[in-house]
Amino acid sequence: MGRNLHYTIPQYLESALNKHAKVLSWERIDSSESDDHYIYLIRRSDGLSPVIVHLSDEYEYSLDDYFQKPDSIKESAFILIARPEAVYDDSIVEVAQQDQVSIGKFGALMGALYKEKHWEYVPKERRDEN
Amino acid sequence: MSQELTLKGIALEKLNRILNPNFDSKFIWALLSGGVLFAGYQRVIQLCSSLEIVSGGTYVKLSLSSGTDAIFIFIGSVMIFSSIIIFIVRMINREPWAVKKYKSLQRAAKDIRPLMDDNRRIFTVFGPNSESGNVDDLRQDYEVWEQLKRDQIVPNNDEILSILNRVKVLTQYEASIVSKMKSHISAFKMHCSNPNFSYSNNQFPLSFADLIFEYSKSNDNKIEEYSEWLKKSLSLYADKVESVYIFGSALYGQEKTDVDAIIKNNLVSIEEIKAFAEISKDLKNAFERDFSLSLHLKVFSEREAQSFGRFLEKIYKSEKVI
Repeated sequence: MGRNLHYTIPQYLESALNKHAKVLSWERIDSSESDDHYIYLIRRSDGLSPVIVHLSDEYEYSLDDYFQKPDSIKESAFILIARPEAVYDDSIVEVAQQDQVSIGKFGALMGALYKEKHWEYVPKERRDEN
Repeated sequence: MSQELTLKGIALEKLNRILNPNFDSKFIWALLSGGVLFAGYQRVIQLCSSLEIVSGGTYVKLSLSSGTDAIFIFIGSVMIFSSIIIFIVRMINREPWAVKKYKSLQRAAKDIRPLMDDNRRIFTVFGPNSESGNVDDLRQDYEVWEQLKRDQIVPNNDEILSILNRVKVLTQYEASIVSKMKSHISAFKMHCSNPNFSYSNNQFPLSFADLIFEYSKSNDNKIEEYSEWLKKSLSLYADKVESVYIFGSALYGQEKTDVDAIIKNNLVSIEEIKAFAEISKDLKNAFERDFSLSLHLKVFSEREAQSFGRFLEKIYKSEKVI
């Protein structure tokens, strides 16, 4: 786990956050010196609580990765599977939901930002029609 | 098509063969040799034509001298000086790729390999057929891929083509594979300038990757060392560990920053999986301490057996350790 992401991916996320209806502001909260991750704090409008987002660079996000996530990724955080072709196992969703942590791809994050209890949100990528 | 053979044609062809290859080198050498000749020939003539007669107490010396000597020395010096200047200018302007020749494909493989790795990385991360199930994901995928194939893959392919064109000898087997790769490069470039042009009939030939990977394989890879280390480190958890694989650059002895490995364990309980995450964390730290390289470890539990199978299928090549 680290920052092994193409530079356009964080740029694309930042540009989407700037346009998102529920995003008041965002900032990078990882330390460029001590942290080896992309971590964002997103402040939301309409009384919604802030969300911490961790961008994972894994191709295949596993339970092992989940249990080694950065310390700042705890209750009400969102783990973004940031590589367009990356995948994650359904078994992680169940474990993460119990910890009140969301996991998903870009579209899932965009949708989850509308919800206070975003870990309960079922994004299109996990709906049965897929 | 037959070419008409005439005396003039033959003479021109001969002249072309003499002049064209390394014309600039021949010109510089001619200028330098001419300059040395001009500057030195008077000395040689004087040496050869001087006559000394010693008879009793009589000493007679006959020699030739010319007033034009200074002019010849001046012309010769200008020619030598010019040849040095031209040589320096040529060295400065020389583009290394333009002259580097390869005796065989095996020798070219080490220069081709990094370009292919770069293309493969871009294709794997951003290429088509991604498993994105969302329109937004697909749009992101598409935009980045379109940009990268124009800005990075096409220039990399051009360089691969340039290297392939400078390989002096190809075996019959290599020639057919190289030909497929050249067709792929041309078709892909055409597709980039005209997206309606399909290159499905000229997709990337995996046989070319096989060949280059095989040729660029380092004989001194440390697979045995890594395997032994992993076996020893995981021996305490033999009841949990089902299989271990090494894949990626380490197989070719070209690991620069990390070594890729996969562990499949038989754990189902979340608590046990969580506990194993601590083991894998310690394993990574110990590997970095022992080899000064990161261990990029992918651990799958029994709960993720399907993901493990999918991941293993995606990997080009792997070496089973346990």
